[in-house]
Amino acid sequence: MTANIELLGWKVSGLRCPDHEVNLCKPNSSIPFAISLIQMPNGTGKTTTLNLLRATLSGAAENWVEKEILELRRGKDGNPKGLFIVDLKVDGDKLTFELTINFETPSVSYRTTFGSGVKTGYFPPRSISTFLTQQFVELFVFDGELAVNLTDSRKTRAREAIDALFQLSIFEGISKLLELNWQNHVSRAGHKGKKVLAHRKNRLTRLLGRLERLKQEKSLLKKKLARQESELQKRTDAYNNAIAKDKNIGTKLEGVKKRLEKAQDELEKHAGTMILDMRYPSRLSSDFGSELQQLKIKLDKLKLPSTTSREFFIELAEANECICGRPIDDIVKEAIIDRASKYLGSDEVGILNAIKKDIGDHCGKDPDQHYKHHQSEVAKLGALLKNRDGIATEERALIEQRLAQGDSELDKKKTEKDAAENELRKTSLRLDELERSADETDDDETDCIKSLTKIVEDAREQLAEATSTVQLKNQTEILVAILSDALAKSRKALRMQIKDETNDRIRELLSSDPVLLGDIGDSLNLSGQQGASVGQTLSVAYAFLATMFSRGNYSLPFVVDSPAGPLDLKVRPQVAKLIPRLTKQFVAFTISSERQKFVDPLADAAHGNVQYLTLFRETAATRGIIVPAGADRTGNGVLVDGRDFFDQFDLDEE
Amino acid sequence: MAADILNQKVKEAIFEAVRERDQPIEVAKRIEAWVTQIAKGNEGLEKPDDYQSHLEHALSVVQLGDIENNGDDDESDDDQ
Repeated sequence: MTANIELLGWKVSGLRCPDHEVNLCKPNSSIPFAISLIQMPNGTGKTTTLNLLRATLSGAAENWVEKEILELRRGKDGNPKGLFIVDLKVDGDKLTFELTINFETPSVSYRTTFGSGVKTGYFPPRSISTFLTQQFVELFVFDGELAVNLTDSRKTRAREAIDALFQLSIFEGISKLLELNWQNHVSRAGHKGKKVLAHRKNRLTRLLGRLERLKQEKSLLKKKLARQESELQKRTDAYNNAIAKDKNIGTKLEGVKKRLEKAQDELEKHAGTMILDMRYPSRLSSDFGSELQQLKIKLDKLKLPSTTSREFFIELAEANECICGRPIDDIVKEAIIDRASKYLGSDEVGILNAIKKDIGDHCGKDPDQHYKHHQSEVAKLGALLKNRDGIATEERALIEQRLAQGDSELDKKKTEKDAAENELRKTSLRLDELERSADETDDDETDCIKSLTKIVEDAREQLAEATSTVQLKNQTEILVAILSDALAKSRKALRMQIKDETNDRIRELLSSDPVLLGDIGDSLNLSGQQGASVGQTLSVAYAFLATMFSRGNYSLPFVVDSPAGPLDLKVRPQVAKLIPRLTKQFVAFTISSERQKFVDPLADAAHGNVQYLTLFRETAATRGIIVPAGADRTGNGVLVDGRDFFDQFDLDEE
Repeated sequence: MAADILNQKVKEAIFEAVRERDQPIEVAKRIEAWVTQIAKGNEGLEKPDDYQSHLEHALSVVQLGDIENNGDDDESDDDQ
């Protein structure tokens, strides 16, 4: 990222400070002075101007509350609006931020002009947006106390400056996002801890084992069933052969069996036909037939369904002319479409017609007819059943007759056949249980494979849910720990680098036995701090700031309120001599008492590349001041350019 | 991150922190990409749509060991 940011000037009107326009550039150029000194007596609105400058540069005014806005209103004139405009040069291109403050609403708005583009709102170019955050702007538009605070071990300004410059707060921001993501997950899915996960894992393992065992059992039972069926067939054949040894009974029995088989076939066939017949309600009761006929009569009476369906009217509404020949305009069209909803749709018409046709076909003119026919079929079924049962009784009688003869071999065959039947039944019953349909009341101990398969699927989902929650928690903790480590390591490495670069700068600027920066913690710690003078300490602080803001690929202006204010007279020359070598542009707000021992050394060090401005409010206290010709009078303020007036002006307070 | 050379310091810190946690290098790459996007001003920290894909990518590459199975059948959350 490269950026060379220069402050060209600002213009303010309608606010608490006097209206004024400050141009920091050399005459007829867009190159700013290296040093600009703006002398403003206390009470002229220095702090207000500094705050507006910071807010306009950083976009921070968008967060101002009503009280903060109204505090900027000038007491007497009651201006509805105030305006603060800042001009910058960014890598040669002019950038302007305009902050308009509306006291009536109260609200603020921004306008950004960069190159040829003008946008409503605060839109810093991406290349310098890093430097124009609220936190960052406060570091290069600061008051003289900052330099003192940087070396105060009770304050954290040095750490904050490094964190802000290198945006280290991003690490903490990302950690917060990860925590938030975890909290959102928990609120959605519930908190599933390790115990829950272990329980679900164990349950799924148990269920899967059980399901596997049941499937194996089913497979074995199927094979067993086939064997048992074959065995039963053999036993049955052997038993039948044993019965047939009495030829008389055997012949009779063979004939009975054939008849029984035929009777069973007829019975099943007739029962199948009747089941289909019973689907028609009119065949089960004559009342159904009568009532359905009544329904058809009423539909006919109501002329339902009508021959005209809804679709007809909708199509008609699209035509230019009605079937009666009258034109269809928009009003008529709307009325037709509206009333079309009162007619049935073509699908509803179709259903009603089908119902009427079926009533005609299946109920006929005499509703009893179909019912009576069905009753005769029921009677026939009864007869077929009776016939089948009679033949079955005949068969049993013949078998009993044969068994009564006392044939031990036949007894044995019968016992074997009965045993085979019994075994087959047991296998079938167990298979039926394994293969039956799923039931919602089944639990983990069920033998129903379909139910258990479903239970396993549910258990799998529950396990996945718990696993994902525990995984997310562990992953989040690891990432947050890495980010915390990375932040600490970044801070350490960057502090070391800034310290080395600051010391290089100090050695270059202060050749005679300089005090060096020993360490950067929350504040700046000087090597041998005990013996360092205030001037040496501040020199280190300014060198630190210069290292921070004027690096190889970017430079920023220093805008300082009362740079010499906190310094005693002995220290001032040291700091003043240093400043022009620290930064390309230094803009300072001063009061007259700061001139002593500060301005002359500063001007000498800057080789005369210094601008002297004096701004004061026109009040009773300033009325006697003789203002030179060419001064900029704004109605409530006077801005005078020039060193002579700057040096003569002797007013600290208005 | 404001200056390229210092980006390198931050990048090294990220990679070192990841190495010390025995995590794959992909984790460091994902964090670096995320931090860089925010630092460039392309994404804010406050807009969920901006960070969601970065967040999911970073989480997805974190390696976990076996999750403990303490065999307790009591499905309660008292371990949290």
